[in-house]
Order: sequence, then structure tokens, then C-alpha cells
Amino acid sequence: MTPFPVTVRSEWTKLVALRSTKIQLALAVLLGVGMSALLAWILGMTYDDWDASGRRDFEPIGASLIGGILSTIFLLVIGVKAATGEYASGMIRLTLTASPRRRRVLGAKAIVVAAVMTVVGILLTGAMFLVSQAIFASYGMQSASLLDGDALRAVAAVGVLSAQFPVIALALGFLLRSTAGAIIGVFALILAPPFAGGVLPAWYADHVAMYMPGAASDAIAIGQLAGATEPMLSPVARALVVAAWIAAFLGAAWAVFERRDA
Amino acid sequence: MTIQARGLTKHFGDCVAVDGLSFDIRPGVVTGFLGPNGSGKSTTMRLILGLDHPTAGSVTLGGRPYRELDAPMREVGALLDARTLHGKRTARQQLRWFADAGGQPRTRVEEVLDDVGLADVAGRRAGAFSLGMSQRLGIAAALLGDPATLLFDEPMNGLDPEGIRWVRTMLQRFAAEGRTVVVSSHLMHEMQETAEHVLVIGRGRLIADTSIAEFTQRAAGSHVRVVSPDAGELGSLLERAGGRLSAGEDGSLAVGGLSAPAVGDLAAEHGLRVHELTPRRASLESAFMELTEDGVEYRPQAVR
Repeated sequence: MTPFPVTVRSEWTKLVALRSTKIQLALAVLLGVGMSALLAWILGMTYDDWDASGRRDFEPIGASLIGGILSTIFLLVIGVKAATGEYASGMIRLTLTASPRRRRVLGAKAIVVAAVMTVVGILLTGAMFLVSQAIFASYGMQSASLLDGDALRAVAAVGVLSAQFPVIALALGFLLRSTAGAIIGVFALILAPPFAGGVLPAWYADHVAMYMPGAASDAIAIGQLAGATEPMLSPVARALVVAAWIAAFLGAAWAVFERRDA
Repeated sequence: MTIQARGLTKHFGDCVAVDGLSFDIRPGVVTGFLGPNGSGKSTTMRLILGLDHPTAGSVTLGGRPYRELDAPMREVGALLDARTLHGKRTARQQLRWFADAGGQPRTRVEEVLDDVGLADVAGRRAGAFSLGMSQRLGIAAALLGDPATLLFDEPMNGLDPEGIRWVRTMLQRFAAEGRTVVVSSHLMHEMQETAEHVLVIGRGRLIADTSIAEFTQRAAGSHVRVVSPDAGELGSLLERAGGRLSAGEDGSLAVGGLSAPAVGDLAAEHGLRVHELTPRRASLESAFMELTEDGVEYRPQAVR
């Protein structure tokens, strides 16, 4: 039997051989770092106008990582296209003649997407952090160091969690087989819970909101920071919520993929 | 490796694409898979490869379903739609991930590129390839694992005469090596020169499972064309000898049921003049048309 690492290797070859993958990853890093630098610069430019409480509550770690939102879009598209691109070109039939055990194909793709996104996510988050802190320091603002435990934890967690939505995007790509549909789906998943928090009764915010995928991962990353509101779930519980969401989407994708004609 | 189908059936919604197919495809000969567009050839190929799930029945390779093969790429090489390899990747990149997926060494990539004559353009994007080059690339992918079974769906599509000759020679060589070779086509003239055995399907049903020679012979339409100034006299002699006569448009006779030598000898015995004596074998096309008269799906929303 063809061993599983062989399938993983082919998925790796497939993903990184595409020039568009490299361009999108580079754009993700450039835009994320650029956006963070721009935000830091705007904060620095206006720092003189801040009142005392604003200066006291300023939290340099969280403020340095907001720019990553733009990068997320590129990472999601790579995740979606890893599935839908094969359906669009018909390449899925070749993939499945070479690796007829479909669970392995899905698993190999998830591993490759997760690995690439984790590495890129850590690099991106580290770069955003360092650039922003340098700008904060140059304006005489409060700044953080990576040697600081809170900062290191936040950077590592945000970096690793960069893989969460791209892997869910991959699963949605398999479920919907449409690039546009899956991208809309994953954005809905990211944006709908905070929106629902605004319009639904408080009961939702108290009992459901923290189990939503985005809320759980935000909380892991920056919930522990000084000044943030008291988190409702422990870090371990939040990690489990994130893992459960990923497992649910991959499980649904596998169930459908296994039965469907290619 | 024998490919064995038993009661193989596939429905797409209300549409019956493959309807109770049973056949054995044996190694050592080129087996042609014949049918008009929409007859279920490609669906059957996808069922063999485990890409589609049968509604009923089964198909196995050497006794096992495709999904349970240990090393699928070494056992089966398939060419489905030549365009499936396309994209922004170069020919070499395409073959590399495919070789990786099948656990084949990268050195095989260069070997098959040479085999199909694409070594010089391997660094070019496959999306810019002509249909003929795409076919060669698809064939290269099928050959990567040096497989015991080859399954080619319309491999001659888009090839020039030299390319067609190349594919035909290759398929026959593989069969002679004892491999199982299946090739589907609607280019029936080509099939006649390529395949030894044919499976004919129409509307998803098996219409014939026989050798090419038998298939063409069995078909009505094989006759001897006779032009003779003594046609009247010769005609009655031929009828008495068991020939079936019909008149050709140009005043010739079409004689069924008798061989050309038999017709010539009979004329000579009676001193009758014969100006033309031509054996006409029914082409695969005409045999096919006759067999599938009910089998052709003319509706525009033809089955996949």
C-alpha cells in the first residue's frame, strides 16, 4: 500500500509548485506587516493627543497584531483553492486514481495546508509584532519585547492559529466544490458570530458566543492580556473548541467526499 | 490482470448511464470499447477506476475493486480527459506531483517525458499545450507506474496521423507484453486497426463482446460487387448457388452470401463476362451503426 507520507508529499509538491501559492503567501506577509506598520504609525502620530487614561490602557501587543486581518484573506483563498482548484480543472480525478483512498487525500491536504499556514502565520505574526513595537518605541510609546511571556504567548498563539480558518476553508472547499461559495462560507463563519452577538439577546453572548470558532481562537491568543475583558473559557477549553470546529468541518468534508462521484 | 464487471449499473438521477454491464477484459490483447457519445463508455471507465460509485453491481481488477489496490499506479495507468492535467503548472511539475502521489521515483518523470516525445517542452505550461500535446502528456502520466493495465479513453483525439500511429503501435506493444489494454473510441476506423477484441455499448447496455473480425463479418453488408454485361444470366446462376442479390445504383450487382472467388468461378464455368469483381467487407462503422440503431441516444441532453 502506498504509504501516507507519499500522499502528503504529493500534496506538498502540488501546492508549492504553483506560482500563485507563493505570490499569495508573499502578499499575505507583505500586506499584514504593512498594515500593522501603518496602524502603528497612525497611533504614534496621534499619541500626543491621547488623554492619560488612553495612554494608560494602551496595550502594545494586541495593537501590533490587528493588521493580520488582511493576510487572513489570502490564506483562506489558498485553503479553499487546494480543494476547489482540483474540481475546476478535473485534476481531482487524477489525484484519486493515484490515491484512491479518499480519507488519506483529505488528510494529506489538511496537513499540508495546516503546516504551510502555521509556518507562514508564525513568520507573519513575528514580523508584525517586531515592526510595530519598533514604531511604538520610536514615538516614546509603551512597547513590548518578545522576551516578555505575554508577548511570546500571544505571538505564538496567533501564529499557530493562522492555520485554523484556512483548514476550515479547505473542508468547505470539498463540501461546496465552488471557490466563491467556499470563500463566502468561511467569511460568514468568521463574521456572523460577532454580528449575531450584536443583534441576538444577551443569552447568546453569555452562553453561545464563546464557542464560536473565531471567538475561541481570539480568546486563546489575546484574551489573557492585561486590559482584556475576563475570558469566559480557560485556555485549554478554548483550544478544544478550536479543535472541535476543525474536526467537525473536516469530518463533514470527509463524509461527503467519500461518497461522492469524482 | 482481468477486469471483470458484473451487473454494473450507474444512474445519475433518472438517467441510466450504465445498465447492467457484465464483461471480462483479458490481458494480452487490445480491447476496444466502442459506443457513440453518451453511450456510457466514460462512465464505465470512471466506475472501473473507483471515481464513480456504482448504483448496483461491481467491477474488479484482478478480483479487487480499484480502491483496494495496493499500488494503483503500478497496476493501472489511465488516460481520462486529456484536459484534466491542465493548469498553470508545467508539464514536468504536473508529472512530478503525480509521480509523488503514486510513490514513483522522480527519474520516471524524465523517462516518460522522453517516451512520449515531450522532453523538449517539459518546462512549458501545460495550459498552453495543443490537444495533441495534452494527449501525450496524459499518456505520459498513465505510463509513470509502468502499469500492468492501461485504460485509455479516446487517446487518439486531437492526434495527427503520425501520433495516431504512435498510440496504436504503443497499445499493441503493451498488449503483446501481456498487459491488459482497454481503449475507447468513436473513431471506429482506427479501432479496426488497433483493437483485436471489441466491447460495443449503446445506451449503457452491452451490445456485442466479440473479436473485431467476427464483429465485422457478422454484420450484414459484407458483399461482392459484380459488374457484368451478362448480369441477368449471371444473377440467376448466383441465386441458384445461394447468393442474395441486390442491384447497385450503377447497374452493378451486390452479391451477399458468396465469396468473390466463388462468384468468379461460377461465371467462368458458364463463360460469362465479368468486368469487375470486388469483395466489400462491411466496415466497423456500418456494423456498428446497424447494431446500435436502437442504442444511440439522439436527445441533446445525452447521458454523461
